[in-house]
Amino acid sequence: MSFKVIKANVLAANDDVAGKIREMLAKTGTYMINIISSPGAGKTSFLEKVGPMLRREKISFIIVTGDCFTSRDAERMDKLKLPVVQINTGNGCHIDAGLIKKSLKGTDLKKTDLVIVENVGNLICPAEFDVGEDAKIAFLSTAEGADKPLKYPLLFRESKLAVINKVDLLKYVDFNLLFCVKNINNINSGLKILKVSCKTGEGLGGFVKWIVSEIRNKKTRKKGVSR
Amino acid sequence: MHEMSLIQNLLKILEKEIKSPEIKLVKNVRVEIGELRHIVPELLKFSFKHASKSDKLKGAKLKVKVLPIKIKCLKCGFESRIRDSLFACKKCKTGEVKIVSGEEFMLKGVEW
Repeated sequence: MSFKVIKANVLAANDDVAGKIREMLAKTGTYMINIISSPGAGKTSFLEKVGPMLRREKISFIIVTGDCFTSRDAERMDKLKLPVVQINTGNGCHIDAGLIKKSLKGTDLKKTDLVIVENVGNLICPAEFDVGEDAKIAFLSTAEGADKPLKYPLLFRESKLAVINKVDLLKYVDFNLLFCVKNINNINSGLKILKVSCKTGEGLGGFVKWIVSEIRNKKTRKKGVSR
Repeated sequence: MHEMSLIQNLLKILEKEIKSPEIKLVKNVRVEIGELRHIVPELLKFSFKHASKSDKLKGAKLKVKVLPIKIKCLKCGFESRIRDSLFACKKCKTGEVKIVSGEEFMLKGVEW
């Protein structure tokens, strides 16, 4: 039998495009987050609440939202006059770098401080595909199991922030918050964790503070490079 | 099931690698996947079998090697294997570690 030895990263094609997006965003000093959660954790509700808060902070942003079949999420944001691009992935269970590149074509990144990618609700595939983001955000809720981080360690390893939503439900559900936080710490000891509720607004200010400081840091780094 | 989209990525690279005329009908395609990647080897093989591919790859079998999750401590340098989602050094217990194995998805070679 003849053979050929190859050493190729299978996701290289995606990673190349992601690298190009990252370069593009570095030039304009635009920050990109990629929010990843299971279906129903509250990503869209979170953005409905956080969007107007970002606007009050004078952050110019665009939301890229992924969904398999509908444009319901985009319609919800549009009602609030939040700038949104809808990606329909069809049978695809995640957004890849190529889809993000296409969706950013009509956006003037020079005038954009922040790109928010709301990935398809799924904890497995979106964690695999780099889309050129500065930070992945692992987003879960108290209506789920507190052991989610243990089941999907890749996402929590790769994220820069974990958000636990629906903390207003803690008195009604058997979600052990301490156990969940311990699990996250075990997987990624440096990961920042925010506890929020889209219903009551608790903790959302902390998120806005975090993102504003991340954007500012990136812009400072950009100025440092261009000097 | 994300294995099908992963196979599409694999085929893009693979078809280029086997273009040379010296490569005849491919018998085996070898890949390595890290345990952390949430890839199910059986589903990956199934997706490979049923994906549309060039004639050279029609009868090829996908051989999958799973690599364990290993970390290296950034403080004491000790390397350990992870089986329990506890990403901490087994020796000095710090969480400041880097992953040295377990995140791979590599095409390693073809046989014909």
